Amino acid sequence: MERENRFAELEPLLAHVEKPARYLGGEFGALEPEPGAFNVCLVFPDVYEIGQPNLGVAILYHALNRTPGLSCERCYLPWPDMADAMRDGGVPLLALESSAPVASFDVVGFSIAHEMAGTNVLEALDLAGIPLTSDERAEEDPIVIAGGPGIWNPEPFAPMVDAFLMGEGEEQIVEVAEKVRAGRAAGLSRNDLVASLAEVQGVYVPALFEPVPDGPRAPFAALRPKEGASTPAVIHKRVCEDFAASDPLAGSIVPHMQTVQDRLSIEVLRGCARGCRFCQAGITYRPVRERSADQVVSAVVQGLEATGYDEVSLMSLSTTDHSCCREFLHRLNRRLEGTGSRVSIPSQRLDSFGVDMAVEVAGAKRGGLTFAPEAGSQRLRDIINKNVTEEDLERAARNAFANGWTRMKLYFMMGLPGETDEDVLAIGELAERVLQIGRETVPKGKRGSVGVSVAVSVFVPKADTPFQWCGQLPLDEVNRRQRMLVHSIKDRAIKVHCHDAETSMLEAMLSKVDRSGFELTRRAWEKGCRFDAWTDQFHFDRWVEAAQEMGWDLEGLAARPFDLDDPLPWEHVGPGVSKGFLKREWRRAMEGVTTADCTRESCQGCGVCPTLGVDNVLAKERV
Amino acid sequence: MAGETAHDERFRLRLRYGKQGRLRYLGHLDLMRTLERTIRRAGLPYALTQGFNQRMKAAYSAALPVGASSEHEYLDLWLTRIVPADEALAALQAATEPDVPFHDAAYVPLRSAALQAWLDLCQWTVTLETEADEQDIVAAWQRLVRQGWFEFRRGAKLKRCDLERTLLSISGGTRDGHLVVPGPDGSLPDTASWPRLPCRLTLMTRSSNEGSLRPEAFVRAMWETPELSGSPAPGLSVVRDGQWHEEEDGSLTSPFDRAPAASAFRERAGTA
Repeated sequence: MERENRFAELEPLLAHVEKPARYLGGEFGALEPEPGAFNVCLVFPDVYEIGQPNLGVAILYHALNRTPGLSCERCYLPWPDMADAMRDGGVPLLALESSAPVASFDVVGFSIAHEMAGTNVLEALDLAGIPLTSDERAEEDPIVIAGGPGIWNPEPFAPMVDAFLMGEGEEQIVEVAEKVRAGRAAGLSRNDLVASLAEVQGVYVPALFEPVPDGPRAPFAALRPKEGASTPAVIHKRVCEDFAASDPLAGSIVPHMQTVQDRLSIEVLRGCARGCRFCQAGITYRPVRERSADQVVSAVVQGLEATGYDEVSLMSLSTTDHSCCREFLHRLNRRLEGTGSRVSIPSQRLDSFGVDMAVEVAGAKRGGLTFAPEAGSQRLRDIINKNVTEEDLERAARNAFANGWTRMKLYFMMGLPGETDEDVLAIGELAERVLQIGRETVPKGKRGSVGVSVAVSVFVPKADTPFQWCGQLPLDEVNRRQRMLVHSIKDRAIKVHCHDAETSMLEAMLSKVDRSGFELTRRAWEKGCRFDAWTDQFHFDRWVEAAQEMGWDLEGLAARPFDLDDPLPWEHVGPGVSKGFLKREWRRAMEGVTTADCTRESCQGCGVCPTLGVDNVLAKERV
Repeated sequence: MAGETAHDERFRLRLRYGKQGRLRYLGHLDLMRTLERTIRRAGLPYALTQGFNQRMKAAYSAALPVGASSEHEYLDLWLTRIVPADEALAALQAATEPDVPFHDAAYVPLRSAALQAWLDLCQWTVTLETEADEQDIVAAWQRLVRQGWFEFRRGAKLKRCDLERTLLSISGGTRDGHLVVPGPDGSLPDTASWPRLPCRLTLMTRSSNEGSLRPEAFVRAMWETPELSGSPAPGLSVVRDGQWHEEEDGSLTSPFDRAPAASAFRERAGTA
């Protein structure tokens, strides 16, 4: 497709769709495409207000655009009203900056945030007019790459993607783009060019792999390199060499419309070593690396001045674990006093220190405070290695109520391995205990507004975690436990919200199946599925229908456990964690034995540092 | 950092800005957010509102409909210390996006009336891309004017706009300047030989607490009259050409007419 500005075709549609601001581009901080450059388009397969604040895309956008000769633009998936209007009007998917068709770019990169994004990737490719699978693409079609936190089991996406970038992409994506440019200039065939990308460390090229003969069969086949293919047998993720040296101010595009994270984002810390056994991010973002307090403070001050935001979020998996958290929050509060600007941190640590930090950032307004005990009983918290005690929790709650909060939100998971009915009922008991502490602590006049809300999601086993071998709790059993919990809670000041079990079941299935999962996704999309992560757009019946056509039992597949020695469909890629460590963690979980955080105590032997040649880098000692 | 003396609203800076190009599709809330971020980037010493949720203290003229463009939008910004108006304007021009240009800045008395209610007259130009005959277009608006009202949909609600209260005048013309004005007897010139160029309407409207006229809704209502209902809906672009306050004697005052010269104001402000 030709590279030309086609905004004039999109414009007449704007008056007829919801939120036309999604499609305008031209935000402050967006870059003008460099004429004659090699063009990369990063597609976030969800709507603008979800995708625009994504820090990963912002970092890659920044890395590509500061490289001479490379130009990077953005694209978000149009909402169904616009997508349908574009199809009717013959308007292809356009990049935001140049309004050129996405299909006219040299490289098109998808940021995959979660396992449910498959139908949206298909929708984007189809709107763009790019053949849906790698096999169907012609010589001149863009090279389609993908990365992000949703691809640790890449296989259900694999047929759509020419090359996956595993891990941290800021250096890798530049190398990949330059390699495509060089390969095109040298006149390489598409197949040779795609194959050559496997030379970049951390790049997985699905076309170079095949099922292990005599191994498990579809939909749980394990893969190995094809005969003669030039690729490592296991592709370890890429790690950004020197995180502290990277620019903390990557995300500086200022949107016009309200987005889900409508504030400046500064990544203060990468990685988390607390070792919660259900948590995929806790393994896949290792090692732990901190920016210095000076770097954080100056990035925030400069970033607010440059963007005009009035709020900054200090991003990471666990900001209150940063060794300088207290220091930079103090300094920032002093610097920002009287400007109306606020600091926020994405999650609170479940102890008194976490509450102290929440006090630092809360200002005068104290609505709800959120904690994630994840499990109701101490026994189950030990199984999942959530290293907080009942006392930590009670002290944190008391501290928060004493500091002016009246509402507490508690996150839990249901269906964790080893969960019994007592553990489920313990969720309600814990909520009641917190409510009681609130009623004891909050002054008389405000006692009526004390409330606890409980959000219960369904545990989904994820690749590269100690729980990767688990089966998903069957639907009926999830529903029974949810009902049991709801009925056990009598006090009306406690509100319970349970996550939809069907969505979680599908997510569990897509998290563990092999490449044949793509066929299911494709059929579901052909039946009209898209935006599956949106409750009001999710059509479980269409997925069930697609599964029936393939002779698949969704629930059976989701519930299927693996043996510890089974070859797994995702083991040819990984974050560098050793299988021995995961097995050991699984056994310790079943024994109820906890494992320490290696940023506070000694190395626990997860294998990431020696495998990838990296280390934890802390700004100072953690206490 | 701006805003050192938080609640000290000592000065009121009036700004004229535009909304054009792609950004004319921004809603009013999005535009306000964009302007406030521009003001922060410009480093102006803005004042904050009181209360739990402290916001920049600013007040805007009436929202421009989504899709309409204008070079005559206004906002008042309260500052904690005086910055020469031309310097403030230059800082805003350097910090803004091309589709939201800043044009004028002047201090106005702190007790000036609120822009949104005070600016009660607007002039609009509506350009229609249509094959419909000019005579039919004129007859359609005449029908609506005679009727005195029209109905339009806003979301699921059917609303009525009172033309006697909201529409002061309407005239039309082709883009090359021919005016199509009915004679005193209501007769129209013979336009059959005129080239089929986009047709242009100029409307003068008055807003009040009871509502205002949206030019786009008026045009859509024209296309529901018997004269035009057979013709496909026109492509249209709407431009707000100006906003004024109507004095009791009927004369028009622009938002900058009463702004005292900066030097005089500085003296009067005294405490700066």
